[in-house]
Amino acid sequence: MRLEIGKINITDIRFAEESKIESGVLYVNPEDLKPVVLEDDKIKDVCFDIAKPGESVRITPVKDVIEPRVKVEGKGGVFPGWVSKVDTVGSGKTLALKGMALVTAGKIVGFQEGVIDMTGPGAAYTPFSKTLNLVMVCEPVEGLKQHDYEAAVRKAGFRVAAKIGELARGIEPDDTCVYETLGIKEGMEKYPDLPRVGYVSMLQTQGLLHDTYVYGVDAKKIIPTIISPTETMDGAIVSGNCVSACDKNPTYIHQNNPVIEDLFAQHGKTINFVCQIITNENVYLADKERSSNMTAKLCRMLDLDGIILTQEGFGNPDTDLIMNCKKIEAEGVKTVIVTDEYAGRDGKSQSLADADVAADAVVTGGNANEVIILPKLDKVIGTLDYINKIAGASDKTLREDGTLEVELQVITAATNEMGFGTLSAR
Amino acid sequence: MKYFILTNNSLAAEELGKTHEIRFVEGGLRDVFVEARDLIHQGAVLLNHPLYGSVKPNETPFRSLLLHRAKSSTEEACASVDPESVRLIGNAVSVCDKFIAKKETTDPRILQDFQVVDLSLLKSAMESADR
Repeated sequence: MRLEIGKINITDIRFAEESKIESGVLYVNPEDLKPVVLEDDKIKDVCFDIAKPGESVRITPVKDVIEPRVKVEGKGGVFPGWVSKVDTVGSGKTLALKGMALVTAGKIVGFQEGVIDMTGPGAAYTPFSKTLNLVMVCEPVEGLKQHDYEAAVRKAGFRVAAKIGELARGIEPDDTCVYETLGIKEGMEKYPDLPRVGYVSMLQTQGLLHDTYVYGVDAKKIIPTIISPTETMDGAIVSGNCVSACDKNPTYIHQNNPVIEDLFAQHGKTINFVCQIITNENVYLADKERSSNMTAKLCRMLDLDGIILTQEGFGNPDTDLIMNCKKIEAEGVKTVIVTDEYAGRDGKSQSLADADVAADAVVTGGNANEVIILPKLDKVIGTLDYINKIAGASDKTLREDGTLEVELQVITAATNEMGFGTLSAR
Repeated sequence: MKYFILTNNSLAAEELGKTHEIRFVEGGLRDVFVEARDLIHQGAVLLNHPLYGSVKPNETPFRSLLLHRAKSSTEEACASVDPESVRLIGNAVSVCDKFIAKKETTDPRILQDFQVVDLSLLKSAMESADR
């Protein structure tokens, strides 16, 4: 499958009478977007705000981050199964608004959403301090159940991202990248001497508020399967979860999956990037056994020489991670894990809740328990009402002088387990 | 699969008590793990992952575990202790002890959210067990 991603660099976002993109500036009239959100009668009201890099702004509680895109050539549309039909995506041409993001915010459950600081020490930890952010804060109707609210905000985010993405239709991109995967036989013939490498991505699928969707399907109900990484780029995988902010994979990171990006960069040079395999992280132990068996079998059937394995979350998913690693290695397929660590505030405890000798090649996104002090910022988009409650905070978080003492856990994508974060040991 | 639910979540007990066997634990999350560990050493088999939810043990006070029925005779049970269950519950207790204890939240809105999430993740496991 061959996908062209046309990149339109957004240099500013402004509220205006007319929604449009002109000379790299995204002009938005919130009145154009409100009906798109409010078509779901579970949402009572919505307000939009803009946060720019370097501004003294804190966004919290953050739920999802989405990159607006539009499909201009080829089958299907963005976010298949949600805003578009379920045609197979991943080929043709897609335009992406680079340098910006749509951030959905507001309280869903009071402890699993994140923080994005646009300036200060916290900003260095989140990739979303570098994007121009259009923030959407939704208010649910009275008495709405948490999971219904999560679904409503999730879907509204995709609709709004698609609406903004539509503004790019007809615009000449600043840059175009081409990504191409080949058929199995075709790839072997074209790159006979290159190692065959796959990417196994574990999707968060523990239950309500902890789910990921593939073409609209709840991924905990799938058995592991093969997809083209270009399908992921077109929004075939979306986030529907409220797990710890630091190692949650927001939709934006699925769309811009750095493992896929890096494997494509080496495709045809040092490796033959064969495909992406998706699997899940269910809570039921027999499901874990089944899925890891299937994943290992797929790796073997595809005659892979090596794979990169990424996870989402801590605890329960660590068991899937290790099961996958063990079984895939046992098939003779070299496995490299990308994860993060919960090694305690001093970094001295065991990093993962599970381990095995087969996990001998591990890349870490950092220690989520590391403590950081965030300064008081001038403006909060959303609310600080829950700041003492979110994962990585404590009753001592909000200090008298307005500063926050938190673990990196609270910062969106700080220790991302697909390697989208900026932490480094260098 | 025949199972019972070991929980300290009153919402789970209330909602599932009429249709399922509930063993209610008065206490915190660690108490549920310790009780489960005892039952596992008597032959019970763990069916869901004790660290589900990516909700860290020092953050949520609630936990609900699905366990396959314990054997009645102690001798028979000792012969059939499930090593994977022993390993998982042992790891869970260690993780619990590793995280610094936090003052438990008393905010009823947050407590209710924790209960709801716990119950929904329990149901996610039950859905697989009931297939």
